[in-house]
Amino acid sequence: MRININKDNKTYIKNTINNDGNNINIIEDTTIILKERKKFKFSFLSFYSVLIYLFLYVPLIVVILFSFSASKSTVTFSDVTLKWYKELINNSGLVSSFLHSIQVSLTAVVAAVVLGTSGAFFIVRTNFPGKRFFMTLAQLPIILPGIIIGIAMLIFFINLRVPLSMLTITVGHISFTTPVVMFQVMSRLARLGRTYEDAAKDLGANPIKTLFLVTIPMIKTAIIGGALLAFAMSFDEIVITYFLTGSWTTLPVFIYGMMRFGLSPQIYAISTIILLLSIVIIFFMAKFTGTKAEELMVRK
Amino acid sequence: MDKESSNFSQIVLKNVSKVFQDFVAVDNINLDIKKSEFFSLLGPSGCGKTTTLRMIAGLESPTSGKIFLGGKDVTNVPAYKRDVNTVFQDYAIFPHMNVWDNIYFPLKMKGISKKEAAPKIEKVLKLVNMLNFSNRYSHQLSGGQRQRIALARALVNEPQALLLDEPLGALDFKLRVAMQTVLKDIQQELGITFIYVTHDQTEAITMSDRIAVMRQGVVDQIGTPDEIYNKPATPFVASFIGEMNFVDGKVVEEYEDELKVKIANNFIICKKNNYLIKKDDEVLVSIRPEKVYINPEQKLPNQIYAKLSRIVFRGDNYQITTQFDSSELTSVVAAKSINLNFNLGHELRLGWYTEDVQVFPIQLKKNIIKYK
Ligand SMILES: Nc1ncnc2c1ncn2[C@@H]1O[C@H](COP(=O)(O)OP(=O)(O)OP(=O)(O)O)[C@@H](O)[C@H]1O
Ligand SMILES: [Mg+2]
Repeated sequence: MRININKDNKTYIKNTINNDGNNINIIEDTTIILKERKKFKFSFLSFYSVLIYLFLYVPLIVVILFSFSASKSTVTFSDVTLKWYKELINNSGLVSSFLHSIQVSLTAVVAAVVLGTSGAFFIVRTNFPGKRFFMTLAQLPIILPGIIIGIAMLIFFINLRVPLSMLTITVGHISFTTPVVMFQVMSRLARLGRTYEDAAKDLGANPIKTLFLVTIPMIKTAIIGGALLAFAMSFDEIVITYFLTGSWTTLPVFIYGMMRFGLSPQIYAISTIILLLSIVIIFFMAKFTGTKAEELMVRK
Repeated sequence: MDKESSNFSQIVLKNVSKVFQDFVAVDNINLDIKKSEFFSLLGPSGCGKTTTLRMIAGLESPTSGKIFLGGKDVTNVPAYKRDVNTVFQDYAIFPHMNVWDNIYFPLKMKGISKKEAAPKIEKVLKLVNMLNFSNRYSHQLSGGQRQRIALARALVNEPQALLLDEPLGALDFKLRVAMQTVLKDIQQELGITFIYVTHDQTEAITMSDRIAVMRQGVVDQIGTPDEIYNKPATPFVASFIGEMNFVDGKVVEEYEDELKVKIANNFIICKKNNYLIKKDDEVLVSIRPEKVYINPEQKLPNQIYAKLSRIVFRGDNYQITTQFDSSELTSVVAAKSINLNFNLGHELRLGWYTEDVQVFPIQLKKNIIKYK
């Protein structure tokens, strides 16, 4: 697609290819695209925002910087080096706990997508007595302090004589990843209403086709966004995990263990990696949930 | 319209009711909609129009009663197997598909390939004058354009009937009037049965072949716009459509096909109708303001004297309100046709023809709709 703004600055010609494969020119009002090019204006508010961003990001920047510092000191910066990163790879406990974390988070996310999406359909699409109460209950794992969930689940597993393992950690994670996905999908479903599905049925789509051609494509981004958020939350979860960990452990719990011997550039290095991973996840989350079309689609 | 087929019943509703929990949304209605008919469901908000339409589409199943489509009982046939399509009030253009794919959707559901579909899609896009928009998405269209696309999508499969739920409700006045013409032209060109839901009486009167006027889940009257306007079957219909005078009275004499009714100290003659009204019954009498003539030159069958109480100029006409005893009568006269050299309180002679008056049992007075 090509856009040429005309000399009058009021209209532009958009060159696109239509369904027959022909090139067509569409003349449109520039206000549509010019709106997006609003100039940034300096104001008190922007100054204030800068302060807040500094407050939030300076510690992170310090961590990133010192992860590349050659000296073991965590106060003064010396030569740039990658040795701490290399050491990470040699730290077998760290590497395996990193892999464990990925394993736990992926499992918890997959389970959350299945349980959360079906749960969302159930809550939005059916009416049953005590629905509000049920919704509050479903939210509890997010709202309650992790320490309470952790202890409660620990007692639960001990009573059932389930040994602390990957299983117990994963179940613990599913308890809070599920409502994350569920509430994302629920709000999308509620906002969409039933009209689109009614329209699909009316136009000849059976329930299965309606689900796959209309409903899922429209809630897809909510599912992906919820899954990414759930992954990010699961990946750095420590409190609940701590209670449910035996000898098999995840990365945050392992790092916490490392910290007992004091801060080290290695910890900075692994933190930097986690930070990068989070940034990547957030980038994708924004990509999936933030596009203009998506926004408009939900708002309608 | 094709003469032979025009009497064929396209859609029939037999004693159809819909109860939500304990609320009766549609109460035992009967409709017989003919092929190629422009049929409107007209009624105030909440009277069950959408519910009726959704039952015809198959999106809601009736609590009792039967629905026939093209002579076949479709009461238990799911929506996706019914050969009718709906234009939804909020259009429901799929936001994740462009215009072309939206219109292709119903064809795809029938297993038609993209290649086969292309000329059909082009045809309907041309019909609604949207040929250059096939790559757009819903959010890149105006309300009126979305409406046209929804129409094209519903028409592309050439259904037995098109159901439209207040399709013009969201548009501004000018656009609405323009789209009324577009819809009517398309309906006449394709000869498809239209069932058109609206709460706008003007829209229903100007566009429809026949209208069903609904009130709280029941159909009060089915008829041509002329019948609905000039021979309203109930006080509700009389009050819902156009302006209407209502006056209380009492039957004092019963003749073969006429009734003599006493209104305050005046006597008027009304034609008998389907209601069982006898001597001494209290009645409600209605007459349209434009049927009340002021100081008519010749003597009309019904005449009363009343005092002028208000004159309102409304552009092309005057609304003249008169008072007699405790009752009020409004009359509408074309602006040019009257000499208004009267003072308020002046006594006027009002007259009308017997066939322009309707008479109803007084019990139905509660169904009169009052705006203001
Ligand atoms: N799913 C439902 N559950 C319960 N009540 C419903 C449901 N759908 C509709 N109703 C009720 O049925 C009645 C008729 O609704 P309907 O939507 O058919 O009205 P309508 O004539 O289309 O009104 P409007 O002009 O406002 O669209 C309303 O009182 C409504 O509250
Ligand atoms: Mg409605």
